[in-house]
Amino acid sequence: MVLDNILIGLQNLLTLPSLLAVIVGTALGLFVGAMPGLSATMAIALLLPITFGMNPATGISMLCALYMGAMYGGSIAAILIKTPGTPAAAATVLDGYPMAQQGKAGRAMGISLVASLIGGVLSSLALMTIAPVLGTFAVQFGPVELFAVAVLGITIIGSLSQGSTLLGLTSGLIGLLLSMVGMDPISGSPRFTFGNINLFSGIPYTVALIGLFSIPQAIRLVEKDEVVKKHIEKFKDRMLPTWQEVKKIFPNSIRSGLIGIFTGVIPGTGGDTACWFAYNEAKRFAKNKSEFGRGSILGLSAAESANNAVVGGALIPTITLGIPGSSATAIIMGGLMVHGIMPGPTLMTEYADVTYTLIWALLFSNIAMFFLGLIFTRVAINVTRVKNYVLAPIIIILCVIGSFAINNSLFDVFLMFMFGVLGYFMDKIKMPTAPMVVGMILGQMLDTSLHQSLLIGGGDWFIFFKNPISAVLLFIAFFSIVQSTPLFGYIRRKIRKAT
Amino acid sequence: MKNWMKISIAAILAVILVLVFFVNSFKITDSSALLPRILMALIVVLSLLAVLESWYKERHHSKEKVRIDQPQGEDLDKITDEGVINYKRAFVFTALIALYIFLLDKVGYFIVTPLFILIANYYLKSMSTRNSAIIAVLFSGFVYALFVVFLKIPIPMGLLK
Repeated sequence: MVLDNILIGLQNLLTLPSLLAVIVGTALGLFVGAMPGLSATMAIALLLPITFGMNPATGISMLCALYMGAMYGGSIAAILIKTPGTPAAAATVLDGYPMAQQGKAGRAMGISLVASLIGGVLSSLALMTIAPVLGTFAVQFGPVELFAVAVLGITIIGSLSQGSTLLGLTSGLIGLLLSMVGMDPISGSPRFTFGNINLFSGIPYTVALIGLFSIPQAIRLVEKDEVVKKHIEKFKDRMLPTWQEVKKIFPNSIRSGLIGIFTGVIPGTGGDTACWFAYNEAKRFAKNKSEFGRGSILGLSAAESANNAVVGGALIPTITLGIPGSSATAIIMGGLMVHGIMPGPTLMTEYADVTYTLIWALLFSNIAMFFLGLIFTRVAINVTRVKNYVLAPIIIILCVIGSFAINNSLFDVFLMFMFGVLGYFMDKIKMPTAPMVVGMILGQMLDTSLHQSLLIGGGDWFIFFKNPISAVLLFIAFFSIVQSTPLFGYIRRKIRKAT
Repeated sequence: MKNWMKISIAAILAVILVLVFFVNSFKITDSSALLPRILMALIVVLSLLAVLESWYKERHHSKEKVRIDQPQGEDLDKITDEGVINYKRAFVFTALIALYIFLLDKVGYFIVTPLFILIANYYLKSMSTRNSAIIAVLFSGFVYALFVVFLKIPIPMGLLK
């Protein structure tokens, strides 16, 4: 059965429209990732409406390819102008920029490209092997287990987000509360709509997501004085690394790729976490630690392999459990839902053709990324020169048309703007926005599964602890909160002192 | 503004949001209101704890020795790696966005969008009026081709109806 689905997915990919969508998506991702003012998450959010006219498998494959391309694209500005094109390329600056200063910019790009290819292929293969297994397990989940999964998703993303755990959890809870707006799935009556008919179908979380991620970024681009970007010379040295260099970075890239996959699986952590995690591990394992920070190809390849590997890793919980592994996959989930496909265990059964096409597309996008990177990296340098003040209004007009196109509703545009202003203020008080988005996604599942579980248990709340899977998941959720509190740090320090 | 003050304002706004939802929760059945009320209680508790946490961190940080040449307090909030934040510019830009969205339906997307690009670029002094006009026309054309012709999504035409 799984083998049949794998073959069907490959067959669906090997059509001209699908292949073209993946190539175009990868190319767009490469250029968008190279622009310091745009992140992969924003690009996916802004381009989501374009996929409405395509069939679901093709459209979502294009978005995944864009995600993969952007992860490499972010290294271009990081290496050339010491400014990461995406947050996931932050660690790339440490060794990529010194290499550029030594006249080895082309070589740095080539190492980055090869490492990205290794990490991306590894994570695509992991997705292809782990997702069916996890999906088979998850499809047996009942309401009790699904409730625990939703609680775990919120607590993990709230406690692992940057900054205060309390603010992260508050953000997640507000997201859950906002997801309650609309029709109550149990009674079928409107809830928290305040008499506004536009809210009867709830707050579309894709609209909220566009607002929360894109509007604050556009405002941030204009709130500071325009920085004169350094003049970037075209690099003259060859990009393709030698076979000796590839052999040198290969084991390190595999290890970093595994770190990226693991980081991607955990909701709330993405490329920005994975790149640093992998970089630190590469330095720890290196024989010559002093070369790190001065143009080490091991440091560069570690960061790039990890951030590309996050893509496949983040799609694992997204596809199998309906919990987004990163902000970008949250939007991809939105894309699936707009096409009428509910992410979760049913993706591996009812919509297996879409899922396996997506997985093959991700694998293929790595190959496309490699060749497009070799051809277009020198051209992509030009996009790093686009001024922030020019980019900001363009982001706004894309946000407006994007949020309008989802439901052909001007009310959605208004909602998008309100969430944008909210996102800007949340950014100022350092309250993470990702937990709010995940809360809005998981809210309905949490509510429905809670009511069904209490029905099954006859109103007994202990049903969640009597079920072994649910009990384990809830314990992990509880632990993820406790481990981020100062009390836990205090206890850990005491234990270290005692031993 | 100190960080704990910002978080206090955010906590007050969160509590106001919760109160609004709480009052509204009496218009629905008890079973529909169960989870929302649990969430509301948790939001209030976490908001208060967040205020206490930020106040404690601020108090603890202020007791540490700080070099006289390092930016502190409000200055630390305003100064970033690339320069001081110009809140007036951010506010005007946001107001422009609000006006753009407000006029979308009444005036029409293909009139308001080029105007928005022109006015925003003029205010931000990011490029010449000629280049701004070219970008405005190009983007409007791109949106028309993609959304109206290719995706067949109706766009608010406003005065051009």
